Amino acid sequence: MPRFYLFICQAYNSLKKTDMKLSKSLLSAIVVGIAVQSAVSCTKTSVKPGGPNQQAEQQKGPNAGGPNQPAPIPDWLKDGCPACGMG
Amino acid sequence: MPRILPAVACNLDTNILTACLPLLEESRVEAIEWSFDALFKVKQVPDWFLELLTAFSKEGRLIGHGVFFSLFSGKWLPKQETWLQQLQQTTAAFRFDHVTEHFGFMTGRDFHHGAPLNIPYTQSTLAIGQDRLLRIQTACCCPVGLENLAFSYCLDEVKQHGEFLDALLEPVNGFIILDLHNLYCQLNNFDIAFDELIALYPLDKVREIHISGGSWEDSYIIPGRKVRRDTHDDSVPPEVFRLLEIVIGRCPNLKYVVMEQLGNGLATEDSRTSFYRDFLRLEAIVNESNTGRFSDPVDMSFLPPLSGMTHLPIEDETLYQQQLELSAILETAGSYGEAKQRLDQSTLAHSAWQIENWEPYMLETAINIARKWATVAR
Repeated sequence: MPRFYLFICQAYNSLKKTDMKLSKSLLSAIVVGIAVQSAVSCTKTSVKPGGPNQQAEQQKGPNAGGPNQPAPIPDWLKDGCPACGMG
Repeated sequence: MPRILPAVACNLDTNILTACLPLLEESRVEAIEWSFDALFKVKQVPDWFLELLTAFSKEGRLIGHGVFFSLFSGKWLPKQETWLQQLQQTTAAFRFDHVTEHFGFMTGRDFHHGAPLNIPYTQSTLAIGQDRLLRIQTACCCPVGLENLAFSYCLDEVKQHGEFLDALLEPVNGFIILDLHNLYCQLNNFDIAFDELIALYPLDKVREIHISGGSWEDSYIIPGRKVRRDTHDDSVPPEVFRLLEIVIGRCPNLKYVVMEQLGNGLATEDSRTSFYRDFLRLEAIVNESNTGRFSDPVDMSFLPPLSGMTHLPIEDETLYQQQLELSAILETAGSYGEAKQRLDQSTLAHSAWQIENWEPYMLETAINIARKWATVAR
């Protein structure tokens, strides 16, 4: 790489912000946002260690039907986390 | 060589966000990976989460990781067209530094309820994969990449995966997410040495590395055999950190090292403490590797080619029917024996799928994966 371009890159890196600093207001909003929701993380059914010859163990989330259920969970909490970890 | 950024997979999940919060407060997270399509069905995303995404996006530190596109479905499906439209809308709102997807086709009765499984490595699947990657790139107008798959049916498939990825990505000037826990699964499930396996991957195409944890599952077909599962519900094993230390200096175009863990593995204080410690260890490895690395003012790596999509989607009806057949067998077979029998009598027998070479304990695992994710959200 030409020396001049190398110099430019090094100067750029010395001036460029390298850490992601979030504002205090955003961090506070995240804290509040997490705290106010009656959240459950993704509740996936899990297969018992017995493998395919044994029945899957159902994990019922708060959306199970019936009376005296808690308030409806917002959509974004129902979907929960995505599916990396599918293996 | 670009400066490497330590990152987390941060999605709209209470436990993940709670675990990430101390790292965000300490400004340790230099980029976030967001699985944007997990929120495609959500009507209203909280403003503070949008603000978080925007903060990273403005600095060029937001990367997108799709989950549900089903890259190798043999038929072009309406849900894939919708997915691309939604991706286009999302990239209009948030600038991604790059977008990635998973290798494989999704099992399951419909979109969002399956798991990615492998496909035969043929000219047809290569053409389909290249076609789909070009469409993703046309929609997002940024570099695109693919993650190596954890699950394989046999050792031959494991050994061919890197070369197939290389060929797939060539037309889009694409890159690889090298998921080290996925490789760790294969090292254990197929008794192959890391040096032998990593030599089969084009490391100059690696732009992102994933590290995560998983779990062990006992095989009932092969008593005493333990299968490593990429379940993302535990802390990062020391062995995976060692793989990171080995490989990080061998990837000249590496830009992100992302730590992943599912929310259901972060429900306790202990697990969140482990998450924090794991990230610090990731950060230390990255910082050491960054000595002598610097970022170019203009990142020219893996830029999309100028040409866009002009032809109709490539399809393979035979492949598609086989995928449906395989999904149905895996999801509904009452036992391993029944699944094996049905497969031997199916259209997959004596075909490019090479089911005759599948390891029994990996077919058993495929059954577990397919059934687990088929029952999600029922």
